Amino acid sequence: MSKRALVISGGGSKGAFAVGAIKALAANAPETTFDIYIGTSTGSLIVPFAAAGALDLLEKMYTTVTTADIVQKDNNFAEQLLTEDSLFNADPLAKLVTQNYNDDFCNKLFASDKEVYLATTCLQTGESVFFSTKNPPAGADADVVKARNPDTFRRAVMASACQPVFMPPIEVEKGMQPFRQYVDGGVRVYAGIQLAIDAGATEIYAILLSPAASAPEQVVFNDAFTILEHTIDIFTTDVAVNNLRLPMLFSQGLRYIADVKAAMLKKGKSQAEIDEFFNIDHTNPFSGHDPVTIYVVRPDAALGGGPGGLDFVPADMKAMLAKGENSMTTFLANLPPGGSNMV
Amino acid sequence: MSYTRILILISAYFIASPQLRAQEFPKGWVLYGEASQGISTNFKSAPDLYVGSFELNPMATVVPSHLRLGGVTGFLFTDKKLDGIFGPRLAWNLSTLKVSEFGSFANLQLQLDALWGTSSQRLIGGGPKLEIARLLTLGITAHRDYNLNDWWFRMSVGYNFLHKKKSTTPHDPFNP
Repeated sequence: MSKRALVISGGGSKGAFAVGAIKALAANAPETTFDIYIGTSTGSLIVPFAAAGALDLLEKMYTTVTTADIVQKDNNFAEQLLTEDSLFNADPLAKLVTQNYNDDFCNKLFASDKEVYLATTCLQTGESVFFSTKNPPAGADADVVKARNPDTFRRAVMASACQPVFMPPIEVEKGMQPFRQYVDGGVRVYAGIQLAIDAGATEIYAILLSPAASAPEQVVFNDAFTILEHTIDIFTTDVAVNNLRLPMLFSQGLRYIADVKAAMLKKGKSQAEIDEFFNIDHTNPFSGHDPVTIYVVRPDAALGGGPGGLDFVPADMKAMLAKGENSMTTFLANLPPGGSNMV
Repeated sequence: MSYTRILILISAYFIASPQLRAQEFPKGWVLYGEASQGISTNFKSAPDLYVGSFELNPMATVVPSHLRLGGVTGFLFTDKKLDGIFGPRLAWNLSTLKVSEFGSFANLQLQLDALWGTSSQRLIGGGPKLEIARLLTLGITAHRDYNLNDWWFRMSVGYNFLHKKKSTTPHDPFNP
């Protein structure tokens, strides 16, 4: 059975762009529903509500929440550095998560047929771990753990959003041994496109919160902290580029093989012969996967949102949301009728 | 309008100001142990006398971000004898020193005090003090002994015994 997936990358307050894009998709193409929802960081805050169809609540969240609702930045930096596990205190975000992803909401999500995956990174193992409302999909390369209860799910949402160093690591499975702490999935996975493919998606809508290319900045970097912030931005962008390259290549490989098989069939080869050619010693890494169409919707230029997207300014987020709506509307308008617009 | 009412209004403004949490001078107590040394002089008769002291300095923030009030008690060594010293102290935050967007790391405060010594010293004065991470202070002070007609000049190093301790368990934002 073919599945459709919605994948949303990380980006802090820039998540407003994704909310705008989802809103426009629901308004202009209501028949486009999803089976799989995969979020990283701010994407993990969005996808549970997207899966529940609570778009109004999402819009409210991403146009009214302020930085103070997410982190306490006004700390004594030196004292934090000496005594805490993060520079900012993320208690406000935990409160927001607890209020919005309550037990009732989580249990309904668990009971629905939607698959929700939240990307995190385990500090102890260094591996990507996706916490999910469902059992791990067969054949997934990624480590997928089913959330045992609403509390685990909330902690996974929080962990996925907690940018390390700035925000604290989270013990998602409270009390479990061995002890594990998790941080932002974006450390390893910018957007969980590969997991969507592994989970059986044949059509993927990936909403990415950074532009494909940024214009060079005409500034002189002359203080260490600005350079540190900028370097982190470069590292993050690099993770994004590398993280997208592989699933895109994989997807192109699947399409290429499908085209070759079709050409061989047209030339008179039997299906059995074709299968034999493509299953030599069972080493075909593409076996078991159908061709995948990946639609990418992303901003044309950087959205702002401060370092790490940790500046939550309602006016700016409203503008980001409008940009998301415009980008998705333009994308849908350019989509050939019934055809694919694979990127 | 009386000075008292003006003072109350100003205090109310600072306490209710939109700055929700004070990076420096937050609500609560500090207890600094301060070691200082310097000289006392009357600028006339030589020689100047060595002054060394150890003081305990508990202070409470009364106007977050701005003002602490407290006291001083301790021992001082000068003129080859050990004396006791005590009195009230005020600290006013002159400047919060920040690191980019990451918050503050120190403050520069003006400390003023009136101290009584057990050998008839009557000191009034103060000076600038750098407080780092609510853990350490570095300061210089000048005091006038209006009873014995001396000037005291000292440098001090302080350690806050009530500084925030590193937790042995990770912070859980769901159970802060």
